[in-house]
Amino acid sequence: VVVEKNTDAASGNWGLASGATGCTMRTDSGGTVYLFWHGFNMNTKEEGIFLSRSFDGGATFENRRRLFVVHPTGVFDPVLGRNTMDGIAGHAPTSQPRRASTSPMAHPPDRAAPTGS
Amino acid sequence: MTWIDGQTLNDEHVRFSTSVDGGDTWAAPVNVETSASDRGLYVAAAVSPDGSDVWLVYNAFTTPYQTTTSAVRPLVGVVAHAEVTGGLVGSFAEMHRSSPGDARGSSQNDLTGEFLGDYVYATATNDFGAFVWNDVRTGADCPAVDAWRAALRTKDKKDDPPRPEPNNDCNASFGNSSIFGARSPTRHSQRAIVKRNLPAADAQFRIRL
Repeated sequence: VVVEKNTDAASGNWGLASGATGCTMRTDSGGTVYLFWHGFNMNTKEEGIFLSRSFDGGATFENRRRLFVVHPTGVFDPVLGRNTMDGIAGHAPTSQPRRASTSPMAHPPDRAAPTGS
Repeated sequence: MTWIDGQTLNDEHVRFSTSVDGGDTWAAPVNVETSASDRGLYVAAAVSPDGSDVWLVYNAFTTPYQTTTSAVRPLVGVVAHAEVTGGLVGSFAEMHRSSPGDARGSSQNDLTGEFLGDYVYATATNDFGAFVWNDVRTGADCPAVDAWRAALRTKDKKDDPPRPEPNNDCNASFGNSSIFGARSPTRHSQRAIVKRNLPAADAQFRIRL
């Protein structure tokens, strides 16, 4: 879990009110490290797949980029505090942040973890 | 890269995109579920080291969102494969579709909802792919839990049933969710198996949770 400070909120950077889940890492044969994650912004209610690469063995990472917009799955279940996809009292993906129904985030992210090489 | 997108309820998709320039640019995502009724839940991909094969495994619900707990909620695991030619990933062909299970037969420890975990992973060598997914075929629905779970979500609490005791009120298989897995045949027959499904049983293994 990383806590960031955003000093440029107007630019749309994903900082203080943001979160991340579904992180996965891959490497290629040339030594590049690829870090993917599912990010969400509680202020803008936007979600996306992000990528940051390292070309020096993980010592530094390039600036993150949002590759794709992602939409959450399911319907909010007030008992579970999460979205469920198959129905009421259904399965609430484990990587979703548990929240109160009064959360400003209308639809928490489902697990949309980017995976693969 | 692959993920699940839920822009429209009951029309969720397994999305897939590739990069051929080391991640600088990415192709427009495409839907790769192998059945129109599949509502993707979790997905994972694996690429063979020689870059010639891409494998997908995903869990999906095959019925729409249920507003009651009285109907079956089928969950399946699906394995798909695509050839890579000149860096371009071809279309995915379904290699295996598991027997469905009823997700209502899974449970959180507090019984208030189902629990499936996110145990969906794929790996690949140049010779074969291997896959695991959540599977509830060995679980049993428990009507007493269904009724109690539904009652928790109504405003009127006067007629709510008591909290069930699974040992006394449910089939012994309630909560018996599992991780199932499969592998593809060896490379010697790999081109052939692209056109036929994985064996239904003998290539599978089960991990009890």
